[in-house]
Amino acid sequence: MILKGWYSQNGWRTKLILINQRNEPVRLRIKLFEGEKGRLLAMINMKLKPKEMRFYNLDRIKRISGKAGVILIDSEKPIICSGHLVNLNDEMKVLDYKLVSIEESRGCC
Amino acid sequence: MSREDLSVKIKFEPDSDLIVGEAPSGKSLAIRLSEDPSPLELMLIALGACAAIDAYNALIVRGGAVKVIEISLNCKYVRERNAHLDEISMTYNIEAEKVGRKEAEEAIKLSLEKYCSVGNILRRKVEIKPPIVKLRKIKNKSRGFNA
Repeated sequence: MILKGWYSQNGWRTKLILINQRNEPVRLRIKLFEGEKGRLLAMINMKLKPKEMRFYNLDRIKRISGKAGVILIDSEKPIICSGHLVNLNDEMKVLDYKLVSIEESRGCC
Repeated sequence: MSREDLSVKIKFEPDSDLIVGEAPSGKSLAIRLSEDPSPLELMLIALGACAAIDAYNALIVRGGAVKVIEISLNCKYVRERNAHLDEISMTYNIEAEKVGRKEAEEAIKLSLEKYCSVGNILRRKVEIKPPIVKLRKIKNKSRGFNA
């Protein structure tokens, strides 16, 4: 499955919350782009343990500091992911959203 | 599961060496037997074309920017009374950016197994080997991390 969302490290701080509800490990790949259709800035390979919930702070990735754009998560099995954005000037401003699953195109014919 | 009717019309005129196939959309394809690919070759071309479109879709949805997809198909053709294809191997040569080699390999394998309609039909009778993917990155300055 492919999940799509938005991150911002430009005036905001983004944290991803990844949840594997299954009883088996799940491998996934997170891609961070510059803007909507810009460069691929970083790619993170991750493995979630069975029933694991992981918090991943995007501050760890220096290449995306000061940037904002699309997140794509390609997961071999279904997972849940939400984004948690906190405004740097006013920490009371918080955005929480769930990354949506995007459909793969179904065949040519 | 939904079933839809799909019918095409073929007209063969031996005197003019011409086969015309007409699709339900009204689009047609004319084949001159002496000049154009044979029906068997056309079947492989159909498989390659279907697989190329599916590979493109699989890479685009993962944020990739694809410039060229070339697929070389190789099959074992058994010439006997009931001539048939034995196995088909496919090699993809892709020119793209914003996509990794392993990622492209996984996405293409999935698209070929799951979405390629022509491949799914052929697979019932012919073994289609796992694809070989060769990726030439146009440019990619991103760094990978393992978390």
